[in-house]
Amino acid sequence: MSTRIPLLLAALGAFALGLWFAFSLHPEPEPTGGYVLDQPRALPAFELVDEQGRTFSSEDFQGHWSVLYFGFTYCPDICPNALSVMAQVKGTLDDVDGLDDRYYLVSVDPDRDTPERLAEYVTYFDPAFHGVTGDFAQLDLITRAAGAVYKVPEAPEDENYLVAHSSTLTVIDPEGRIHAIFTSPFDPRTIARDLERLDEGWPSS
Amino acid sequence: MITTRSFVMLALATTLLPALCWADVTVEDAWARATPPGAKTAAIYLTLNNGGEDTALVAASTSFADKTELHTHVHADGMMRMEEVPAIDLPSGGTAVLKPHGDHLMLFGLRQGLEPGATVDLELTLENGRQLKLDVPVRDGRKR
Repeated sequence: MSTRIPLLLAALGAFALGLWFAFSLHPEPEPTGGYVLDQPRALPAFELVDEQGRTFSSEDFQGHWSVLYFGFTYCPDICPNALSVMAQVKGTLDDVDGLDDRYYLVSVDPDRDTPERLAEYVTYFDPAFHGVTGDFAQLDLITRAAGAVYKVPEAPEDENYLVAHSSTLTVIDPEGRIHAIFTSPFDPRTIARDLERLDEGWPSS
Repeated sequence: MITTRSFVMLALATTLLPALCWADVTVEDAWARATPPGAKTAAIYLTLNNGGEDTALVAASTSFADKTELHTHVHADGMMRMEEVPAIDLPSGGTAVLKPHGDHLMLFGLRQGLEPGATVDLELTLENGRQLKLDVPVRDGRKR
């Protein structure tokens, strides 16, 4: 883990620079709630498990918009706030015809967040929410691509440990690519509006 | 004679002084975030006003959890991290606001879920040794 963190930070730095570069070159007016990547970034192939215990891969992002939050269910403060924001965004967009949007908690705490645990947690915020997790090697594939960082304690004393993590809402487009990133603090109305705009500008819609 | 009187005065002073200090620290806007099913952790938020001498919040406990810690929110290396702190300062005349995305009371080993409308017993211990007991209402944190 100790060697993983500098690498992740370097990746995040490079990603942030890329975002800034993309943002500064983009000629179109931008949504104000986050950053739209100038060139959407394809996700590497990964294999996770969802809240039903089913295999979840990058293919599952195809054909609809997805909003991801990287966190963990033992998180008492930041994650419930973020998932509540996602629920409010979804609630707003439920009235928009033709917008196929799905919402995921990607747990970076697979040792405690079993599929069963994820199911009861995410559906508390919205019955249609999904939870996915997997082993750290697989999680790192998706977190690195998304510019998300996290740190699980190496040898926790007991089960009462906390996981440090970045707090962003990552938007995956219907081609399964990272398309936009919203940073904290989140404003549900702005995010919903921006997602609607992204969908309106989507070629196939 | 003088010794006895001094003793009585001292005894009175040591008995009354902490009581006065206690009265000077008040709690408002306390609430506990309702928990999702199966939750093992929870958070309590509140505002402490200190109209007395400098002191600090040094401990908290509730019958709802195995362990209650004072936590602060650290934003470093692009990550959010909850960290235990030994005390939350309550300077004389000052206010400490424990709120979402900031300082909060962290409940570990939750013994039962926190349902909206329920109340959580909470005992706060100050640096001067005084304790405040209060009932904290549970609110649904999903709504704004």
